[in-house]
Amino acid sequence: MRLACDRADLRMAVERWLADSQLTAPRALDLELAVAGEPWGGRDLRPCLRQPDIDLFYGPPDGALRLVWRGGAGHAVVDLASGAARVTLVEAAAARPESWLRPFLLLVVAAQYRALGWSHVHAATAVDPRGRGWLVAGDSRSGKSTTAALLASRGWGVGTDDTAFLLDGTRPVAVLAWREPIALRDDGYRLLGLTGGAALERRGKTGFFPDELGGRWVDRVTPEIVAIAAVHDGPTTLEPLRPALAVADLLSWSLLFVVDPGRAQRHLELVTRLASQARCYRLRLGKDIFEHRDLLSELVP
Amino acid sequence: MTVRYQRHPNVRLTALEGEGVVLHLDERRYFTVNATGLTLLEALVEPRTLDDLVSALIGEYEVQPPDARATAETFLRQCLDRGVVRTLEA
Repeated sequence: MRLACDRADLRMAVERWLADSQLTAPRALDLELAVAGEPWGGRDLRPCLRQPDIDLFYGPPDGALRLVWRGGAGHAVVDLASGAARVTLVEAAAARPESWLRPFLLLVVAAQYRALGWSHVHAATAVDPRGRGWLVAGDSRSGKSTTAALLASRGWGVGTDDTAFLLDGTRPVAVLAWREPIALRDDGYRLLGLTGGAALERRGKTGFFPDELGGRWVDRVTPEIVAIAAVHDGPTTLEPLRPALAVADLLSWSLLFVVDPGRAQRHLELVTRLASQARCYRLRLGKDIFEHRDLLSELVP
Repeated sequence: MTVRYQRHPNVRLTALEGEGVVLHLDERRYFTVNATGLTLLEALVEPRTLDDLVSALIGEYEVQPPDARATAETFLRQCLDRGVVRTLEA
């Protein structure tokens, strides 16, 4: 990322955050960061996609994407063709990088990456002891993080518990991980019987890197297994899923394509290739997995 | 007046193991269709009459014309309701 920012403290915070992610883009994208005295007070009448805390406006006339942090603390404009972004933060927010790096800037960067053909998907990535790549997709309460921590504790390689990027240019489709701690809620932390970890105060979670749990970090996975995850009250089950249904689910966890209609067909085909190359499953996670911690390996022949 | 039908320009379609995945960008909806629906939606990339669609089904499947017509009519009605297909009157 080619970062431009007059404030040394902000530039250092962003540079460190980007370096920690360990994602290396094939070409540098421009990211300009500025601090303003007043929140952005403009209006954008284009279609809007609402994400937690952030509204995304997109489409004609300029084709650029505008991300507005609903608290009024910042906004960003991303040129989807070049991947260049201009981010403006109000002073009060800028002083607290933890309040905007992951909550706001991560979505900006994910939008920038679309110019590289990288598509963000809410998914965990892992490599099992047999060397098979897994992608476990689902929403924020689907058990991805707890599963990622559990798998790391069984010696699996784990890339991410939530922030993955599908690569359009690879055959078969490969997935890159944004490196950050696996973020566990209290219930997952307790069920896994963990101690220690880093307090992720803003998220109300506890973080672990895979190597702290007995696993290892893997930057890139080529999924042979795609699981659409959800938690439920019964026993853990893994049922084959028709690839077309997996595609429909994967679309719902990679919604950024909506703001980039010109590339929507490519995104659809990318997700279709992913579902075609993998065995697809519906994964229903029950509490028995904490008693029987190698269950996932055993359920997939 | 001949009514022709066509896929909405903001609908995207992909085929996978005989099924289709339909993505409607305006509605932000996505759903799957079976092989018959896939055949019809693929044909509807160009403006088609109901007779064209019936011919497409007869050409693809062992189906009698009345059944093909009923299938095409039902599918078209569902697609029109969902905004996946639009009518072109000429």
